[in-house]
Amino acid sequence: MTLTEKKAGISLLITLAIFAYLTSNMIDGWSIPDQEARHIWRTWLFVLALGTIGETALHMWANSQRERGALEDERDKQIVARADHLGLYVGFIAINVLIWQVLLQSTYPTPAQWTLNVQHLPTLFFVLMAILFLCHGVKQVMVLVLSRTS
Amino acid sequence: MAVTKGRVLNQIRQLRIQAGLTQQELANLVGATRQTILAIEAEKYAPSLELAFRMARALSVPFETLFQFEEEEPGPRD
Repeated sequence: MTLTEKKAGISLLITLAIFAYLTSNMIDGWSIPDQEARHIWRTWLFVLALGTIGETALHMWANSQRERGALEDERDKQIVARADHLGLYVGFIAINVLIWQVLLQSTYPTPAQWTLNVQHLPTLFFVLMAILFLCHGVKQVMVLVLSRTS
Repeated sequence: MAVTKGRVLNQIRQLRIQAGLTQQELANLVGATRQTILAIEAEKYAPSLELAFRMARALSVPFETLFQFEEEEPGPRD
């Protein structure tokens, strides 16, 4: 297993753990209840802090591995670039789906049951955060997949 | 003029075994990972010119002995 694969695997685990924290803070059963703005601020700051700490620790660990001789070569860089591109592509699609939901709800003010209620701040917050996690998660999964298949 | 597609073939596996090197040893000599050598040998990954020249030098063979370019036959639509 290359250093790039190890980094992607650990980053994916960190992402899943932080997303679990976000979900447990925002979701009650299958719905997103009303939340105080203070609660949403606190959740966002915690997620940001946990992500920064996790990725910094991962970066430091990777540097120590490089000093011990672990290598990231041109193929690894190519794989990360392709995975980045795919993550970005998924984000682009997800944001466009969200824009479509916003436009739909501005056209039909009473949200249909199958649409996301983007007028509800906690829902909009959770969806935007979920898109960020989705992009990052897709990138890490693609690094793992491409490392094995290309 | 239409350019036909092609693929890069290589003789790395045979020449590496002839030289008595493992994939890891060749990887160390050229500054790549073992997984990259494996992918190049399986013709799943085409290396950069720099890495290709490093491999030729490590195996002490001319570049053309190590890599060949095979052009695909143009189809009826081409």
